[in-house]
Amino acid sequence: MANDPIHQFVIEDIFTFGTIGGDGAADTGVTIAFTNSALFMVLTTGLIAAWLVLTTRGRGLVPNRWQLSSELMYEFVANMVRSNAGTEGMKFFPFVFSLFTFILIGNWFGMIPYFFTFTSHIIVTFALSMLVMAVVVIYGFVKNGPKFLKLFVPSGVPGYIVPIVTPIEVISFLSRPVSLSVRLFGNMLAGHITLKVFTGFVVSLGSLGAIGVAGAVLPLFMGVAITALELMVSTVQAYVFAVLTSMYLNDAIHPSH
Amino acid sequence: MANSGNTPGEQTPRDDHSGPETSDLAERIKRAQRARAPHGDDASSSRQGDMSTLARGLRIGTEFVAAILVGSFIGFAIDQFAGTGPWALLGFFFLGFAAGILNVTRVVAELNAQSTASDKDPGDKNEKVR
Amino acid sequence: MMQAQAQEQEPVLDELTEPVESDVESIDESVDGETHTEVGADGSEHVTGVFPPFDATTFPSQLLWLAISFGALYLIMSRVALPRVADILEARRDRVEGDLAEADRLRQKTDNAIASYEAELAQARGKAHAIAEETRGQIKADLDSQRSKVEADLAKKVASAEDRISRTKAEALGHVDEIATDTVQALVAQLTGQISESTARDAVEKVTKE
Repeated sequence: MANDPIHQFVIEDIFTFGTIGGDGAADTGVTIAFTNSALFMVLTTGLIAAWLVLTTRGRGLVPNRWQLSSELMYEFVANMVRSNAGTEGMKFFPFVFSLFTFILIGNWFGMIPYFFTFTSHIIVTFALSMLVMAVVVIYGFVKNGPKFLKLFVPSGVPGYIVPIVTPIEVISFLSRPVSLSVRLFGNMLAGHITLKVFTGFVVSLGSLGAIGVAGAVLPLFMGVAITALELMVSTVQAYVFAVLTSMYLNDAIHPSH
Repeated sequence: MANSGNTPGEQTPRDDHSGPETSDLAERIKRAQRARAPHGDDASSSRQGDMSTLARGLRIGTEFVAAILVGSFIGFAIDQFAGTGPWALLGFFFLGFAAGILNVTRVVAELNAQSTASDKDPGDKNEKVR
Repeated sequence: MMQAQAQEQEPVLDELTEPVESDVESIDESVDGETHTEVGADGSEHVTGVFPPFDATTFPSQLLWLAISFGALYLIMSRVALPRVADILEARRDRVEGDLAEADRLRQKTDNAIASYEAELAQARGKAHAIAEETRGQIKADLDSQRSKVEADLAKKVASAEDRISRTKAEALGHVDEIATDTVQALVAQLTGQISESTARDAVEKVTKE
């Protein structure tokens, strides 16, 4: 079971709150539970909150090392939002910052052995990307009214092409949450399976005695290399998610192409 | 002062407030103020530029596939509800394909715009691409 | 606000996942025996035979906890943490700009002080020069007057001395004639007998005039 690369994604209930709906029979209805996935979501939130709140408690004019880490993270995300969504996009800065750190720390948590990676579950990434899309659509309509629909009608296109181009634009728009969530989910899932398979090789070869240990060296190095790669992928994917969020928010702010 | 104690006539006290004693300090203050004026945006944006390019480049594959998936799903749903056989699926598959190509063109255009005008105003840049 | 939106989506997501859920149930039934042993072993695992990330029975819990934790994160970030970091950065920017302005102000003050110092120095030098010139002139005049006085004094003394000398000389010379006359008178008296005083004097005068 330890070498099963899929087992790391299994959701385990830590405790349950009972079921909603169903007809009272054992396997019907929706079970609401506090799962290992939920545990790591809460841990992620707690870690980020503790990090940002505790390190800035001193409000040092000259930052110490910890406070500097918070400030660098702040400025990194602030620059990202400002350069992708403009100054007006800065009103979504807390949102993008929360998304970025939540995904980043969630991904990094997943790098630690026996820790659960909640971003390797499609439902989590899809919910997050649908949240982004909901914010984009709602804010787009609130701010621009019907003009937000210009997003689907490229300017400078002759009238008779509009009926063809608009469905394509709509599909392109609808594909955003899908690609956003599938990208994050796929990268984290594939990365963790690869990592698990290679480290599994090391363990099972190492248990075969001297020859096995010698043969395990190569997978061990591969495992280290893949771990480094995964760490980079975890970071880049969180960054991609946040950058795309900023760009989509830019569409909501300036819908006319 | 010991700097020019030759003859009293040669002493030239003037108030152009950049005398030789403090001109270096004045230069340093001006430089510091200039460096702070755009509050450190340049350095970090160029640093982010590399990572941003990488991030945008990684999108191409998924953007393409996602558009086809969404198009096909819409067509499939229409077929299910309207019972129009495979035609909606077929049509929307091609629409999705076109949307995928559109997505890819946009990503490539963004990459080009970013590599040529990396220090332009971001708002302008995005609007130019679209 | 975000939390509310996240929860708004849940119905949409549930609709999307409903077909999957029915699939899951059918699979669940097909692998029923196997599943029960595993559940019995661990007690709480969702081992339904589906690939775990697509196991729809876990979706509601995950969405609920995602909404709770992300909502909490958003609230903490937007209410507490990010304003505080923004305050810190703002305070630092203000402080640094203020310090730079203060440095510039002090620098200008220093420049002015240096300029006025140099002006005063030059003025003092000029004054010192003038005083020196004046003193020198004064001393020179003083010296000249004293010298002329001394010189005049000396000249007078020299004149009187010369006068005295010439008088003494004349006197001496007078005495010479007298002595010579006496001598001549005595001599002639010794040699010849009597000689009148006037004859002796005439003879002496005759000799001395030659």
